[in-house]
Amino acid sequence: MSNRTLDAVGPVEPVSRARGLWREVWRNYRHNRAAMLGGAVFLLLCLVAVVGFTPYDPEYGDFDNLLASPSLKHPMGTDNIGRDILSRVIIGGRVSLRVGVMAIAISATAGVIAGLVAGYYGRWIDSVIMRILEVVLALPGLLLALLLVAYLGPSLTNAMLAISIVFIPPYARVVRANTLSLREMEYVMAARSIGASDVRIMFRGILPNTLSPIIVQVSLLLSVAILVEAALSFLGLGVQPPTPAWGSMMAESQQFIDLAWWMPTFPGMAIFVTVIALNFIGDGLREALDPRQRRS
Amino acid sequence: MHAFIARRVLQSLYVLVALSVVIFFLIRFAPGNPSVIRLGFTEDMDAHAARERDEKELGLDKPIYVQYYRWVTHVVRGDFGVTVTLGIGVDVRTLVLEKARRSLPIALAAMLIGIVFSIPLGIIAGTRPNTVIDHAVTAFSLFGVAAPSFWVGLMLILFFAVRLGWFPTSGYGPIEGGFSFHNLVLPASTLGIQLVGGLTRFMRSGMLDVMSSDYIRTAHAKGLKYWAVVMRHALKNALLVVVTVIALTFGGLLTGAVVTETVFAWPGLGQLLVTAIKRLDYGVVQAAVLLAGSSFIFVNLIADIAYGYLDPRIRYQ
Repeated sequence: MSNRTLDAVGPVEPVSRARGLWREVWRNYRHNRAAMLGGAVFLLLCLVAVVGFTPYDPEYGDFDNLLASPSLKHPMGTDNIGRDILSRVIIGGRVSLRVGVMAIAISATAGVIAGLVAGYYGRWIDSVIMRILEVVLALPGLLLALLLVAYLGPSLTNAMLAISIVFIPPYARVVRANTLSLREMEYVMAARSIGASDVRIMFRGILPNTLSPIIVQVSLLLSVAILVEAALSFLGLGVQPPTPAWGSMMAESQQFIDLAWWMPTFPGMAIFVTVIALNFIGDGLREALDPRQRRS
Repeated sequence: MHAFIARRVLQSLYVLVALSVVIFFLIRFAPGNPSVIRLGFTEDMDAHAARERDEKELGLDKPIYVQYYRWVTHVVRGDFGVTVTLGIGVDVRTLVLEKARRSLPIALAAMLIGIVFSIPLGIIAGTRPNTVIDHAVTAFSLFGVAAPSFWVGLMLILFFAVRLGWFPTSGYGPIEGGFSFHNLVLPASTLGIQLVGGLTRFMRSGMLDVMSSDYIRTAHAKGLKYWAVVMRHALKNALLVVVTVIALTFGGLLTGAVVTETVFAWPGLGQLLVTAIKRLDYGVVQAAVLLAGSSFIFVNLIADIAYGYLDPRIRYQ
């Protein structure tokens, strides 16, 4: 018993302090019902996509069941060549989530490095990096992605690459702004005076302190990336057939819209649910990580 | 203020030039030789001589900066050459401007829907945080943001065109030709719903910020009626947000046009861009993107200057 009081006032190791911070964040997050729901739904979607179990072969056409309406056998119906829509939505989700996650991973990494370097070194390095990012921002996101895909050629990899370039600036800006103020802090000067290298200061000293806005951006921009991927696939410039993607499934459905309402409805719903879930997660994380932002 | 404007204008000019450089280089290093694409046939024996002649004519044997200079001087004069993939020998500038004109009705109608709905909704939600009304408005705006516009478009077609038969499923006007207001309703609503979602969120948070400020408390304290405070004092400052938002809307209109026009087979700039990309018609792509990009940069510049004029704090940042 006395031990416990001692622990509470005694010196705390850095590791457990960090763990305590994340425990605090989790406690805040857990009380947000929308965020918990969003998290659960997103985990479920990821699980379904990773496991990849489908009731039917998503590319197999059952010619006895063309444009079959939703039933116990085909819960989301079949498409114009008799392919099971539920199976295609599952595999399409795997494709869309993978493109989104990979694109955000690339853009977050590039953006964080660009922001750290720009903010830490300042002067002309900062100017050069920021001027380059301004050009990326000169076009609205989807338009830039379209332009890049136009020259790279339509494919899954190129769509992913285009999306990751589009999303570099938001990370770079957030990290740069934080780095600008953090590099003036005493602990950074202390680190420099004991001879820590620039790279070490940037990644071990500054990056951990700017992590929370990055995490929030990741969840919010992932939802936007999934929307952009869906739009590219819908326009026929992303994932190529016969691989299903949510966007291209809806493009295929257009011709049969007066015969089969289920063809556009379910893939669109899948996108919608994913994006909403990610939005809830993002809002929840923002409030959990920065209590000042909490709504009164 | 003059220094602020000069700085912003210079920055915009820089971005414009940089954008043109990017577009130029993307074209030069695009898969496929420009002269091959222009001539429209691949490298067989007869084509070889023609290709060399053409490369000389296009200046492809000159250093890259000379080529850029040539290209820019043509672009500034609005000379984008002719297209062969979208009709024989059609002037690209005429084509792009014609399509942009057709995109205008959707853009204007959607913007109107966006502003007319989002400002009142934002005020209502922002003045009553955490009430049932606020939650309903927030849920609706989240729908507008999260639902992909092509899905919303298809759902509108499904319900209002297929089921109820009120509006045509697609097209610019009747088959005989010309424009019809009837055809405009669904595409404009599709784009409009998306805009309302984004704008309402901004308007709500702007209103929320203003309502908790000291001068609003003062206005309440001196005994003004509630709606007088909201409409005459709070709204004026909350509307500042709208200036920025209009610039954002413009970007949304540009990208929304691409998707919405594809859903509704609307023969506008967005559909032209998608078609040109698929047919590797780089001349049309660069003209369309330069038009969209430069107008986006211009609108952002105007919005920033307006904001700096209306809110002096911005100028010194």
